[in-house]
Amino acid sequence: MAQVTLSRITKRYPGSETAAVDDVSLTIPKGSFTTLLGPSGCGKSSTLRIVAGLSRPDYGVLQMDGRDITHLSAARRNIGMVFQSLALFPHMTVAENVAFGLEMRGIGRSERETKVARALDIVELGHLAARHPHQLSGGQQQRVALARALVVEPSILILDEPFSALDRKLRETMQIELYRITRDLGITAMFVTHDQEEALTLSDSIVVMNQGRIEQQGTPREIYGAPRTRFTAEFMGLSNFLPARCNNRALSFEGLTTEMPAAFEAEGNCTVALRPEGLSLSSTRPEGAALKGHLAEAIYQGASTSYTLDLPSGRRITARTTDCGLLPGQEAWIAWTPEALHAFAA
Amino acid sequence: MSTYFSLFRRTGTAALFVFLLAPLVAVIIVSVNAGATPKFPPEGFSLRWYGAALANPAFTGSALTSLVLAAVATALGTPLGVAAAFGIARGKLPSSLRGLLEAIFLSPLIVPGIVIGVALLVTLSTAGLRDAWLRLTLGHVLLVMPYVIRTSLAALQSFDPSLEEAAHTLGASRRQILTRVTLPVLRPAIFAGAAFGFIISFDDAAVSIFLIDSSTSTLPLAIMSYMQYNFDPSIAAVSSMLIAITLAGALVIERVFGLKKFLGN
Repeated sequence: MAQVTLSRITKRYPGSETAAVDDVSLTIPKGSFTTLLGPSGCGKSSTLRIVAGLSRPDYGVLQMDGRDITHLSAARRNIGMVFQSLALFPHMTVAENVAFGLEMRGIGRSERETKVARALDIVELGHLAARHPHQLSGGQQQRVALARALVVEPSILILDEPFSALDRKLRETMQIELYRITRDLGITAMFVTHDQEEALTLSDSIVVMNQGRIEQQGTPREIYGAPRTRFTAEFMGLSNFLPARCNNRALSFEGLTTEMPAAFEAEGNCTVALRPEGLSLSSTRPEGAALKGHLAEAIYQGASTSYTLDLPSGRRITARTTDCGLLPGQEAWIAWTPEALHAFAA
Repeated sequence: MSTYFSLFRRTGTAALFVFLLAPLVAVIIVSVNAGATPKFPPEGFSLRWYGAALANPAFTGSALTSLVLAAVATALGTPLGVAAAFGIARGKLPSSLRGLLEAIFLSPLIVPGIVIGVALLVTLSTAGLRDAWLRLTLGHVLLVMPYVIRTSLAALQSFDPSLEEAAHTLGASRRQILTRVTLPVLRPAIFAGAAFGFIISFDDAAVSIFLIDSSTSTLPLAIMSYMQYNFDPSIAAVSSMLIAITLAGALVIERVFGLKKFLGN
């Protein structure tokens, strides 16, 4: 296992105005599971390919345990990579697929067989060693790809949206499996996804990327609980953005003044966001800070009901809460839990 | 209405099959004719014309020539075709040049064989190449190559590049990636093209007729020349044997690779 450091990595593709990766500096500590999260085209996959050695940066330095590997061939970086398409060798059996990396390292047959058997045990596929990839289910193919990457005892495990082709249920199973395996083996991992739930489930550290740059980096709790920019907030499922002013930690919006939440920093013009799941509605004025609105729409969704409210300013707010019995056309008071209120500059 | 349509469609399909297969069946029936002329219906059953055909050195010698020629042309044309397909699919070329190269390499599929034959005759004679074997080999490599290029190119275009990247990250060198991953994955397509090329070479008359000499002939040409002076069922016997061999070959390909892949899906 190794620590990987990116310093000022920049990559521009020919014919493109903007850089795919723009001055990215980042450390992936030994044994940590770090996820690059962002929409398609944000530079997360380009960054990952640079770390893997499949693409060369135009500028910047890549280090592994302090050693400069910027120009080292991918074949010599000792990485294990799981591809989006899985890239299992179709003409080889499961065991041959897993053994490939060991063979390339010149490891003898008997040691190879022991290691392959152990790797297949870890992913619980020992009984399918003689099959070919096309004879396996999607989830089983996934595990073979993981075993093939793990068997070489890589310095870093790199995963490029490996679960994007799986259905929701299987994806969740594989996420839990990957979490268990990486934590059991203490693996340094770099994971790329556009799915925020997946990132929150798996990661020790999340790096949110936007237009080739790092938007925010932190633990899942920090990223979800205290997004620092509107982009991160939107990407983490926040909505209900309202213009606000902050003056010495007094936060004013929609004619209301309340205290700035401790996790946030802003001064002057800023934006407030109210997490729809943290709102509650009532027909009478609750204690503490609350906004009054006109209930425009109520959509029953089973576990929760989605309410749309018009504020006196004309702005709309969505609240997702348990059914409160209010009907469209009625006036409602909107209150929130302390964690539901977010604020960030501009 | 759908039943009428279905009846119509079935009748049409059956008619088409009869049209395709009836001549072949007729040849086989004629080949077991006991009489001295290829008559239909036959005058009794006999395998004597099979014996006559196999005893005729004009057929056996030219059959051996055709087999060796097809094998040599396939052995030479296949690696050349694969290399050309790699160049077209992977080379750093402007797309217009890529299209031009592909058109040139595949042109023997479109240009009439007789034109290729005449062109080769003129060119090779000018160059002073008069040896029939050398001329036939060159001409037949030209026939085999486009089939290999076409199947290899199709396979390369649908090739998942992350297979090679995966091998690379696992420590494989460029050569190891080619020999252990890329070529094995392309193998069915390459084999399909080579098998097709072999059959085309074995079957060719239009190109070969300009390249043979008095002592070297191929089987299709031997059949043609025999028919000019003789009219007995041994021709039908040779044809029937060819049908049997081709059918056996097709069955082997079907069992090993699946004919669908072979025909380009």
